[in-house]
Amino acid sequence: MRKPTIVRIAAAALTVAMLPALAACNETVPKVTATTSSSTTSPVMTEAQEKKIRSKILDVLKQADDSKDANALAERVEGPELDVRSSQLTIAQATGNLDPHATIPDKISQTVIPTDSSWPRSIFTITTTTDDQQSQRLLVLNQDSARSNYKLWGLVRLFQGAQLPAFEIPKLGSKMGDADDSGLVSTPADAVAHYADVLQNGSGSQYAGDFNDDQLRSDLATLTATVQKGIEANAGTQTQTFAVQPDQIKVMRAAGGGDLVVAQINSEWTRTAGEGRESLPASDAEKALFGGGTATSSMKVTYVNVVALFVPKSDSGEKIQAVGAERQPVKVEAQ
Amino acid sequence: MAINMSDTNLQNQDDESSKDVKGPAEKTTGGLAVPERFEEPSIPELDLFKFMPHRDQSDAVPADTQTDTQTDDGHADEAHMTEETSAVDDVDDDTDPNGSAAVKDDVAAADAETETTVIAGPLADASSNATADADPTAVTDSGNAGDATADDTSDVPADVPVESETDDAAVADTDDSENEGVDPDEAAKRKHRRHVRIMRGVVTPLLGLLAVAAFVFGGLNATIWKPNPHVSVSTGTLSTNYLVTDPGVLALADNTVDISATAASGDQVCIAVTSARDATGWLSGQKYTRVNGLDTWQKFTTQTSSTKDSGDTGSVAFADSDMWEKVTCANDKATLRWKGDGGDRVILVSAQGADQNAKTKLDFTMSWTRATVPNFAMPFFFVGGLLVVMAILAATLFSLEGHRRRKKKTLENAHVTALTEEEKLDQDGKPHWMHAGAKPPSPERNRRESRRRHHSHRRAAVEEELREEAESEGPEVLDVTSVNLLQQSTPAVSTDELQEYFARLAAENAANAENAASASAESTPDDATAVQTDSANAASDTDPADGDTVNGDTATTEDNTDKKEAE
Repeated sequence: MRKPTIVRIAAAALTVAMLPALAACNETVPKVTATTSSSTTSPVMTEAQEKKIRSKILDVLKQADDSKDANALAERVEGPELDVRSSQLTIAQATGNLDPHATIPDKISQTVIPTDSSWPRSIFTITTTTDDQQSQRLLVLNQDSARSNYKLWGLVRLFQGAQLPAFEIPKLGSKMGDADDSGLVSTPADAVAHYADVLQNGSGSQYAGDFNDDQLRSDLATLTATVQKGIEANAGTQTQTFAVQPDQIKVMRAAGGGDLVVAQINSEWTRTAGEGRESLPASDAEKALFGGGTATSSMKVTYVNVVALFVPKSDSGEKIQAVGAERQPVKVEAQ
Repeated sequence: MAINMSDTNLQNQDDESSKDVKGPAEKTTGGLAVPERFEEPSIPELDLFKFMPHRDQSDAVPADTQTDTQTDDGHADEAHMTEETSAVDDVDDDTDPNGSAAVKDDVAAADAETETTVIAGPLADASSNATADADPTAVTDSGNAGDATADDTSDVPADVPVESETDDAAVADTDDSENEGVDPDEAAKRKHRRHVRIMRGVVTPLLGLLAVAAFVFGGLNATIWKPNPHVSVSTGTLSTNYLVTDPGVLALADNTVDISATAASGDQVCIAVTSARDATGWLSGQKYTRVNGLDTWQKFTTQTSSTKDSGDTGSVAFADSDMWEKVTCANDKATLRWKGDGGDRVILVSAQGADQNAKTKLDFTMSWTRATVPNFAMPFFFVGGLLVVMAILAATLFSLEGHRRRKKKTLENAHVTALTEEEKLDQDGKPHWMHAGAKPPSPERNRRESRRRHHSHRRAAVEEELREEAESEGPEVLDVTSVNLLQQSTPAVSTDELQEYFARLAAENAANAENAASASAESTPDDATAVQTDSANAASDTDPADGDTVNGDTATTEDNTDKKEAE
C-alpha cells in the first residue's frame, strides 16, 4: 500500500522533527511576577511588629522611670506625652514616687494599625487595665517620617465606662483621618476647639450642647469648685484658659464611621490670692514642679491636657463624646 | 457465470454478513473456471450454497455484479473496470477474463471500495466483450444477480450494478482469486512482499532508532542535562550605596533564599526585608539601584534611580529602623536567609562607609536551591515509548502476511479456493449434492472451504491490490485468466443453463424494478444503470441488513419460484 506507507513515514518524520524542538528547549529564566496585591490598602505592619515597637518604647520608658531621667525619653517619646512624661519624672524625682497614673500595662486589648502609605503614621493601641484597676490606656504611637522610628506621642487614660468605637482588625488595617475630615458632626479640629471652649466656659459655652458629659469636665468642675471655695475665702480669683495646640492632633477613622480624635489642649490655671496672700501650689505635683520657687500672690500652672474625643457621623444624631483624657501640670510659675 | 458465483462467495466471505449465496449456478462461461471461494454465509441455510459450483472465470458478470454492490463506487468502478476489462481481454479471453474480472470484482467489492467495484465493472465488461458467454448477471448474494441476462456482454455491466450489496466485494474477491492467473497473483504477492520488506526493513529500524535516540535524550536530560537546582545570581559591583529589589524577586526561584551583600572593606553592610512602601519611604531622596529580575541565570537586571542623592538624612540608623521585618548588619559582608513566601516584600541593602558620601563597592547576590526543577526527560521518554510502539506495530501489524488483513490476499491461496466440482451449483441454485441422489460433499471440501473463507478477505485485498496496481501503473496486462484449472477440467454448469438462470433472475428483477431490468439489459458499462440495477436489486432485498445473504436467498427463492412458474 503506498498511501498508508507514506502516511506512516510522514508520521515518523513528524516525530523526528519534534525531537529537536524538545531538545532545543532551554530552561528560561523565571520572570518576576509583580504581585499586584493591594499593597496600598494593607496594614503598614503586622501585630507582631507593633508589639516589637511598643515593647521597645516601653523599655525606654521603664528605663527612664527607673532613672527618673527625663533626658532619656527623647529617643522614644515625643509630642504631648513627652511633656507629660517629663513632668511626671520631675515630680517623681522630687517626691520619690512615680505617679501611678503613669503606669502603662504591657498587655494590650486592641491595636489599630493604619494602611496609609504616607508619613506621619500613627498607631492607636489600647492597653488592658492596670494592675491596680486603673482604667485602660490609649497609646498613640507616631512615626513622623520614614527615616524616624515610632515614638509614643500621646497617652490618654480612658474614662471608666467609656465606649470606644469599633475599628477594623489589625489584619485589615484602618485608615487614618485628617483634622478636617468631613461627614462628621464637626471636623476633628473644630471638635477639639469647641471642647476646649466647653472646658473653659463650662455649660455656659455655646458648644456645650454638642458634647456629652464626660469625666474630665465633671472632674474639672469639681476641682474648680473646690478651689473656688478656697479662693473665695481668700478673696482671690482663679481663671483657666484652654488653648488648643495647633497640629497636635491625631485622627483615626473608626470602622462604622466617625473619628477618634486625640488632641492636645494646653490650659493655664491662674490663681490669685487676694488680701496679699501668697498663692501656693495646690498639690504635691504643683509643689514638686514649683520646686523652690518663690510664691507670689499669683500662680500660674500650665497643664497639658490630652483628650480623646469620638466625633460621630453627622447623620448619627449623637453628640461628641470624650472618652479619655490626661491632665498633667507641666509648669508651675509664680506670676 | 462462474465468476459471479465466486464473486458472490468472496464478497460474502469478506463481509461478515455475506453469505455464500450463489445465485444461479455459476458456470465458467468461456475461459477458465474460476475456482470460487466460498464465503461464510451469514444465514445458516446459506451454508448450503457454499458448495455451489465453480464460478466461471469467464463469468465476468458475477464480478461485475458484485462490484456494483458498492453502489456509489459502481460508477467509477465500472469505468475502471472497463479499462481493465479491455486489458484483460487482450490478455486472454479464454482464460476467462470474466473470471479474472470477477476475481477482481470480488476483491474490489470485498473491500467495498471503489476500486473493487471498478475492477468488477470493467471485468464485467471485458468478460462480456471477451466472451460470448451468456453469463452475465452475476448472481450476487444480494440477489441482484437476477439481472443476469441472456446477453452476457450486455449483462456484464448490468450485473455489476445488480450487486447492490457491499458483500459483493467478498465474492468478487473470491472470484478474483479464483479467476486470476499467475500474473495478477504474482504481482500482488510481489507487491505485498515489497511492502513487508519496506515495513520491516526500513520503517521498523528507523522507528527503533528514533526510539533509542529519544530514550538516550531522555536519559541525558534526566542526568547530565538536568537543570541545575542551584541558582545563584548576582548584580556585579554597583555604584550606589543602596539597593532594592522589586516585589517578587525575593522568592523568585524558591521559597528559601540566601541573600548576601558585600561592600568595600570596613564598610557596614545591612540587608533588610521589608515592605515595598517602607523601602520606598526610606529611599526617598536617595540614589539607589533597583533589581528588576533575572537577566541570565547568573545576572540580575538592574536599574539605577535618577534621584539626586540628598545625602543620608535621617535620625535613625538603618539597622534601628522599626520598619524592617528582618534586618542584619555586618562589616564587609552581610548574609540573610529568608524562608517563606515573598509576597510584596523587597530586599533593601544599605552599604555605609565611614564617609557617607563615598561610594562603596556594593555587590549583591541571591542564591536559591530549587526544590522542584523542570522535568525535560519525561517528554523524551514518552515519545520514545510511542516510537517503540510504532516500531512494533510496523514490524507486526502493518506488515502482516495478510492472514488477517481484509484487503490482502495471498495469491497462492487463490488457487486453493477453487470450487470443486461438487460445490458447483445446480441449475436451481442449490448445490449439487442437495438434490436427491447426489453424493454428499467430500469432507476435504470443508477444509478447503474454511481456508477459502479464511483467505477470502485476503484474496479480496490481493485482488484489489492487483487492480490498484493495474490501474495506477497504467494499462498493465494482467493475465488474470491464465489459471483456471477447474474450468478447464470440469465445467460443472453449462453456460446455457447459467444463462437461463440469469435470464430468469433478470426477468424477475425487471419485474421488481423496471429500470434494473433495462439497465441490466444494457451492455455498456453504464454506471448509472449499474447503480440503478443495484439499487433496484437492493430494494428487492428482503433483508437490508444482510443484503447479500438475503438477496441470495431471495434470488434463489425467486429463481425457484420462477422455475416453478415456468413449469
